[in-house]
Amino acid sequence: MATESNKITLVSNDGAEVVVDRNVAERSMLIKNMMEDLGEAAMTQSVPIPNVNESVLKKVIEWCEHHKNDPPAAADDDSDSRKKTTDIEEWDQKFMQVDQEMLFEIILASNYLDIKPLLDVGCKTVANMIKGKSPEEIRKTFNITNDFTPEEEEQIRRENEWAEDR
Amino acid sequence: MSDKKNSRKRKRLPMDMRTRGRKKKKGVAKIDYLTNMPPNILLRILSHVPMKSFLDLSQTHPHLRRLMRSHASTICNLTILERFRFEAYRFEAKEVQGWLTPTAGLICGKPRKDTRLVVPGLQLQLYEPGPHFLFFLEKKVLKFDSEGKVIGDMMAAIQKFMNGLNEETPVVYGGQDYPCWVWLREMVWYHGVPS
Repeated sequence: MATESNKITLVSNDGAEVVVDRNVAERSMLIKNMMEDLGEAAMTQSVPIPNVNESVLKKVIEWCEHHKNDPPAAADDDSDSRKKTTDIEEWDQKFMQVDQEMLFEIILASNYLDIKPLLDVGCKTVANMIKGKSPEEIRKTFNITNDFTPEEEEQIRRENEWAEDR
Repeated sequence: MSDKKNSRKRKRLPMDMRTRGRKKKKGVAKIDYLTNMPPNILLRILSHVPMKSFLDLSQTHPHLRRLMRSHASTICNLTILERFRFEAYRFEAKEVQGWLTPTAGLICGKPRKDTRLVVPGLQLQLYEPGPHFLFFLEKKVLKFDSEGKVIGDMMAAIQKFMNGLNEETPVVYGGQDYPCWVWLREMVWYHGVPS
């Protein structure tokens, strides 16, 4: 339930209630659309977030809180797109310094809650962990088991023999 | 029998005894979260990975390998829209056979006349669908000024780039020479090795 005006209560999948400013929660397009659909009723009842647990929900809200005043990204703004890089701003880099379980949980939660900028930050963080690494280093970083068949291994060996940098 | 007993005992040892006080390595996962991500998330992650890492990534796990091969055009398209939206707009990129491909007049390059192509029909053009448009964008062949206009001779820069891609290589494979783009690290994840 909402406790004050302009505050809403989110309920995680493990039953924890998190009270948050409406404008913060509405960084999530899922919640924003839900609020619009429910109208006034949204302010008086709890909003269940069934795919996200308490710790991840709090982390996501922390991000939304910090970015609550960011201008909304225009989907078709081509003129601005040259500014896009794989760089992550400093605060977001620190925010993403979590263990891999939390990192991937944040990615899944932002995908479910439809928070595209947070999803991008999460995906960029993982991409940066992949960049410039050999297959063995990537496997080690993400604890990936080498499941290739001998035939596939042979194909990979040929690819590496064949591929050249330029 | 005694071996089985011992192995059972080993499994029951508490964590601190098994690790013998060794510190956990930071940043290394215990569970493989990456390959267990849903395909739409994996494709989104890939859209932020440079092409140079595609081959390495495709060699880590069969699932990633299959996903990258079967969704190659989606990966390239997403990457273009995510990282090169302006360039895609500027080159009037449209989907051709599932690939975002430049359609503006600027991409009508000419085939190399002096190329000795042992394998016929292997000269690429920028307007042909495939991963080479993303490669072209990643290489930043064209530079733009603050107003979005191309700096320098656009056609000459594109032609030079395409000539480089279509240049025959001294590498002989199976008794035949191939143009450069066939063996580029950025392309092999998609084209594979000629049989």
